[in-house]
Amino acid sequence: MSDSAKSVLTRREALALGGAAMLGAGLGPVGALAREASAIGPATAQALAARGWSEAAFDPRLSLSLPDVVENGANAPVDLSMSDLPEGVFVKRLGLYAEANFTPEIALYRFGPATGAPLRISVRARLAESQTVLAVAELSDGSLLAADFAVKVAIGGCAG
Amino acid sequence: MSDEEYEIRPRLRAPKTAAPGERVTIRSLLMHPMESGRRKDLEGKDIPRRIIYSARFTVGGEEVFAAELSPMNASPLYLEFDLTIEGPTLLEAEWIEDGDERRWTASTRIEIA
Repeated sequence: MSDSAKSVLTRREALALGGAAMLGAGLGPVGALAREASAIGPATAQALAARGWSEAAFDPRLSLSLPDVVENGANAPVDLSMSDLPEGVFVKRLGLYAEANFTPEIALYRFGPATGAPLRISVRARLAESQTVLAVAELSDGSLLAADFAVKVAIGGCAG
Repeated sequence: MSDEEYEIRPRLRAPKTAAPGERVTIRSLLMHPMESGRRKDLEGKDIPRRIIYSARFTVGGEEVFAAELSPMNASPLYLEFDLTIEGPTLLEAEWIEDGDERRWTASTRIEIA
């Protein structure tokens, strides 16, 4: 894995640097996400591009949360939710990504109006090592939103 | 039903009743190995891949929630979601394994209180 995949700049540090060019150089062409987050490694960027999701932008309405420390990477609880959606709009698809995993796209979830507005799901993922997990939501009006969460993994749940 | 299929039996849990417009939590669990195909047994031989790649939840044939799953999902396979109830609901779930030959189904009914 290249150095850029292991980039450890936090979003705050990235903003402090204020150098979009510098970030772009380190992270590759993944559109809006790359300019905002350092956690987007090349494998995730490729998976997002395949979905047509490179232009997703971080939005606090989308919430991704895990325990701060996952004891067992073979079974990491992941909670996702989204509320404050515009009238009639629902989350249509949601992708969950872990760059340091063998397969970066953990899952793609699909929703309908009865489950996607508001949205709340809880799933169990495998995490190979400490890393920043990313979620991207595609709304029924076409908007693309992202959220991330830095998680420490005590015992990696590779096997994948 | 073979012993193995018995072991993998699915569970689907929902409240028995709900008020119209209420959001209820649906919990599902499939005791499936979710074998990634990247592990070796004690003798160093590859353990073959065996993954549930699709889990789908429908009401009256209409999809309400579905997951396309990679080997990066934990075993047992747990999926929980919230569903808005409008009327009496028969929720059906189906899990499909690689190769499409093995699948498991479950259903549960939610009445209006």
